Order: sequence, then C-alpha cells, then structure tokens
Amino acid sequence: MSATNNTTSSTSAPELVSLSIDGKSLKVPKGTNLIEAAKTIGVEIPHYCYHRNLSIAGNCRMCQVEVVGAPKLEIGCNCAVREGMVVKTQETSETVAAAQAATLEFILINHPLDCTVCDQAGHCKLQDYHFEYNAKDSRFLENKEHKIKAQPLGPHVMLDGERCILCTRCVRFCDEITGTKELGVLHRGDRGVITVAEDRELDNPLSGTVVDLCPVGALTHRDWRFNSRIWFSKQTETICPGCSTGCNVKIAVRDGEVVQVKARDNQAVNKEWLCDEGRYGMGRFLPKERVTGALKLGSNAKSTIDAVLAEVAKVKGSSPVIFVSPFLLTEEMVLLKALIAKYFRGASVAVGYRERSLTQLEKILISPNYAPNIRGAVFAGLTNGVNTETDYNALVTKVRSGGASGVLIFGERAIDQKDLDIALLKAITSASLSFGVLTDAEGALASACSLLVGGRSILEKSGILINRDDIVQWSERSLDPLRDTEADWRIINKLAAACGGALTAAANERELTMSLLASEPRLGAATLASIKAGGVKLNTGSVAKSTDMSAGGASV
Amino acid sequence: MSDSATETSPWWGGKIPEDPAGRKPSSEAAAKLKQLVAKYPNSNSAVMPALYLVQEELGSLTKEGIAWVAEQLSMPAVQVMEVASFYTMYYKKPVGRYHVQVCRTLSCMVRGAPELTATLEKKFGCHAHQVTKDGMFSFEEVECLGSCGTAPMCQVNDRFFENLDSEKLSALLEEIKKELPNLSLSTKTDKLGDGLAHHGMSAVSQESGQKEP
Repeated sequence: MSATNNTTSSTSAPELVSLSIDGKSLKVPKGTNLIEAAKTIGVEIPHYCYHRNLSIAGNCRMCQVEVVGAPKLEIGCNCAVREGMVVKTQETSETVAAAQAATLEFILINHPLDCTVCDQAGHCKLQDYHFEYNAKDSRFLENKEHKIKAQPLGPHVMLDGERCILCTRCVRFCDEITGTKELGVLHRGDRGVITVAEDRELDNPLSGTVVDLCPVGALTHRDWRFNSRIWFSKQTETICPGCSTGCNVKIAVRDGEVVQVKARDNQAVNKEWLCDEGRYGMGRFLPKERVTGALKLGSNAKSTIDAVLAEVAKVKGSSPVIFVSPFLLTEEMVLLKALIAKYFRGASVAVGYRERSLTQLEKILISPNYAPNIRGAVFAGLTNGVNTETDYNALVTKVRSGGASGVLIFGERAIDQKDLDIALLKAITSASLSFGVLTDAEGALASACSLLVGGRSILEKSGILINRDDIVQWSERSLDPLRDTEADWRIINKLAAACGGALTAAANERELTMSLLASEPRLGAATLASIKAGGVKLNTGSVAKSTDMSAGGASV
Repeated sequence: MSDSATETSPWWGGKIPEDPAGRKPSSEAAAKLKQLVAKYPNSNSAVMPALYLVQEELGSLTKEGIAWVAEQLSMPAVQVMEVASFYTMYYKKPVGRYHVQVCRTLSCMVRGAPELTATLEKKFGCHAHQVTKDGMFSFEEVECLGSCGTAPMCQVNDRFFENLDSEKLSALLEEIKKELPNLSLSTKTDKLGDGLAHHGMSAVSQESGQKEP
C-alpha cells in the first residue's frame, strides 16, 4: 500500500514513456505520475496531500493540470503518464492557474489566518502557494467554522483543527508506514477534524514525522511551540547522529540552541521519516557543561593542549588501551587509525559499540545501536564490524580488572554510559595514564581522566559519516563550535606531531576531507558534491578486504 | 457571532457515550454480520451495515457497539468512528423508541418544515436530539430525504410520512403512541417492514396518492 508512486529506478531498466509538459518533451518511466514527471524538468506542480511515499488521496485538488484531449482538469498526483500525452501546468494554462487559485481560496475559507502566532509561518505551504498562485483577498465574508485548538494528540504533537486542511497525510502515515493507525478524520465537510483514537495517543516511535508531513500549521511540535520564528534560525542540512541509520535532517538553530529538527527526503536512507528519539534528542549531543581547553588533573591551573599531548606522547610505543567513539567523523577515524599504526602499534583498540534491542515499530527506521559512524570505524579499519561489541566488552573487562597501563579515549561515548561503573572509573583513574578527548565536563569519564582536552560535539563539525548500509553521507556543522575547544582531528594530528611527525598537512576540515577523497580508492569517484547530494554507496566488497589487513579490536 | 459559529464540536460532543447497562450486541448480531461480511470483497466494507446492526439492537451507537464492530471486522476503532461520525443516519446518542427525522432541505423548507419542527418541539417538550421523558420520542432535522415531490415530510424510524402539516403530524404521533407499530425496514427480516398496512397507518401517505414503496 505504501510507496505507491515510488519512482526510484529498479534494477532492471524501466520502460520509458515520452510525453510533453509545458511544451517540453521528456521521457520518464512508465507508471510515473505527473507531479514526479514535471519535477524532472524543473516544473513544480503545487500539492498538499500528495506524498511520494504515501498512498494517493487526491483530496486537496491543488495539483490540477490540463491534459490535452481530456474533458476536465486532472489531478497530477493520480494521473500516470501515457505515451504521447500533452500536459499543461499552471505555467502555460490559464485554466489550470485559475483552478488552482480557486482551490486555494476554497482551502482558506475556514482557515483562521493566524500566521502571526503560527509556528509554521515561514515554512508553510499555504503561505507559499497563496503567495505564488493566488495572492488575492478572500471573498468569504461569512462566519468561519470553529474547531478544536491546541489539542495534544500525543506526547510530541499538538493539533490545531482550524488550521488543518484535511489532506490526511498524517492519517495515512500512521496507517501505512507505522501501521499503528492512531489517527482518523471525524465528521465531514468543513467540520471534519483530525482526531486520535479514543483511549489512545499518537505515541509511536516516529510520531514527530507527522509534523514534518503536515503542509500547514495544524500539527506542531509540543517541545518547540512558539520558540522561534523559523526565519530567525540558521538551518543546516545534515545527518542525525542518533544511530547508524543516518537519517537526513535539517536542524534549525538559534542562539546556539536547536529550535527545530525536520526530516529531509532521502529515498535510499530515511524516505522523509525521522524517529522521535533522534528528533527531540538532539540536545544530548550538546552537554550543558563543556570540557574546554586542556586540563591536567592535580594541577589547578589550566594546562595547554601541547603540554597535555606531550604527556600522552610519552607512552608512544607502549600498549595502551584505546577507546574510540562511534561519533567521530570518518576523516578523524582514518587519521586515528594512522596514528595508531604509526605510534601505538601495540595498542588494544575498541570502538564504543553496544547493540540495543528494538521494538518492531522502532525497527522501521532506527538501527540497533547508538553509533552513527560505526561503519566509518569499519571503513577506517578500527574494527572489523563483526565482533565489534565482543572486542569492546573484552577491553572494558580488561581495563576494569586493572590490566591497562594507559587508557586513551577519543570522543564522547567511546565507553557506553552503562559500563561506567565505579570499578571501571577507578581503574581508569589509577591507570598510569588516562587521557580523554571529551565534551561533557559533567560526565563520569571527564572526572576519571587525568588528562583532558576539550573536543567538539558531532553537531559542531563537518565531515563524512557512513551509515549502516555503507552509504557515505555528509554531516554538516549545524552549530558554531564552542570557543576553546579543538576539533578532534586536530588533536589527533597534534598528538601525532608530539609523537614524532604530523599525519596530515590539511589546514582545515575541508582540506582534510578532500585529501581523504583523493587518496581513498574505496570512495571511488565520489566527490564532495555527490556525497552532499544524497550520499554515495560505498563498495562494500572492498571494505571487507580492508578489514582483513587491519585486524581490528583487541587483537592488534 | 452566532452560537453555532462558536461551537467547537458537533451536537453529540464528538464522543459516543457508553451504554449505561454495558450491553453488547448479541451473538445473533455477530452471526448476521458474518453473513453480511461474505457479501463484500473485504470485511471493512461491511462497516456500514454493521453499524446499523448495532443501532438496531442497542437503539443507538454506543462505545461498546463501536468497539464490537471494530473487533468483528478487525479494523481500528477510530476508522469505525470515522464512518459513524460521517453519516448523520447513525444515532450517536440514544434516541426515543420512535425517532422523527424532519427533512429541512429546500422543498420541505419552503413547504413548511420549520412548522413541523416547531410542532414537534411543542409536542415533545424538548429540543432536537433530546428524548422525551417517557423515552417514546425524539426528533432531529435532517438533510434531503429524497421525497421532494411530497414535501414537507418526515421519516419516523424507517418509514416515510409525506405531505404533512402540523395537524397531520400531531394526528400521526397520537396514532403511533396508541398503536405502537413496528416502523422498521428491519435488516433483521431483510424485507419491507410490517408496519403501516397492519396498523392501518398508511392513511397519511395514501391521501396524496403515494404508494408505499
């Protein structure tokens, strides 16, 4: 039922149909609808209820087009291409433009026009389309229908019935994608209103997605109501670091705080869905108290990064235990691997990785871990990706029993929160060397390490993340880095310099990425542009080969 | 602004009440529904007759009845509610033993439907959607019942009474009160109700030369 009109190409070459839209000829796969077909030649047919991953409802009537020879206007969403079809959109047909203007006026009849207090203002399809396709005053002078307002549908979603245009995207999402079927439309006509089933709540693991799907301001985030006009925020297209699914998101930030998170469309990764845990949990990547500069336990004065790294460099050639955070970028992991290969050959390395159990519903989107770049660690050769968790557990046990001479921790969450018991923390504290590149100053690890350098949150840096399906994606910095913190790759490089020689001559993040792209055959012809535009699939065969060479985990 | 403009929910409040006695549709109803389901390509399609079954047995839709339909047809209760709330023919609140539906659409309206409504209000001593104290009567205004040629008219339970005026309507109600006829086109019997002819009540209809369907 879902993805009825998914036009992503299948493995076999699809049959092509030629038609003309607005006088331009094009060829698209058979079965494509007119909205998607027009998109390929850069014509946007306006629509509310249509979504490529949901079934066709055809209730908003906004996507009407003229098909030459047809007696009436057709709706683009439910009209498949036919050979020789001649289509006129609002760009070339006055009839269509007039019909769309009328549809808009009709949709707005009972709309409260409360844009001044609406969270959707600024990214609202009603505003956009009215501006573009109608832009006239309403002729409706009668009393508007009044409906339910500020009604919580669940823990995350608030309904304003008056703003709703009854496109039923949210209902179809819960019916077809999550299968939880919490929502429905009660009553009919202009009295119709979205409702949540009696005795139930809209509380499925993807519930916040209905807010993204809502083309108007009817559904809003309870967590983020009235927090900022969207145009005062800086919006960044990036990747959710919640798990290794690597959902494409847009993060809106104002004054250093996340004010809204939206899903972005990536058919190969997350369609346009996002889980609540990722969406509303961005804050956990921004600890309230940060580790800044460099600290050396026992000395009251702040140390310098160079002094701390010089201390760490003293143990080069020995066999410390190294914990790597799965939140590091791929560039950083590759650099770290080079550092280990060059100066810490005897080290035992583990990537902080812990499987988690998921409910059937969570499995729709969420990966069974909290490790966004675990495949990046495999790519870098820090682990083989098979016994990652066993290796990690073995190392934790080893450290806990006091069997580690030195402990080096790269990145926040390199050791799972659940493993940080008193025994482990004591063992880390009493190790001859304990060094951490951390962000959370209030975390248990920060208090256990004797040497600390302030690293950066994954939201504060740009680079490559590799998701569970080995799709190489671009994670863009959505927050300005905190003063007095250092990018992890720089710390790794400086440590290498302190040990004997720097690993890269890159002057900034971009140069580092470019050098990785240029030197890494497994990335093939991937360019920065192609990685940013939807991601590039890694050749998994070659990844497997590379892990053979670099036996990961504790066995190094 | 009028009262209706400030109303944020429909007359029945958007929630179907529980049955005070906690009654559920009987096993006969379940058997009947099973037969109905077989007539449709998928079981969800039987939701409308299923709701009628509930209404017939319990007098009106109840929360238990909605849950019963949802369970019988294995569909979410909210989808049953969608259907129940969409159609006005389903009683979302208890109705009287005889429920009068006065057509208020154009033809009936200009031929005197408001008069009929006023008569009913006066006679029953209650407003639309309320039940008389003895539980015998209730009424509501409905949209076109498709009998414009014999306007104004009303429907009592499942039967039409046409070419009405205040006096005829009053006489009809008195007669019903006395005779207590069965006015249902019962889905239980699946044939035209045994109402009027047996009870000699077709006089109102026949006067206009209209034949019973």
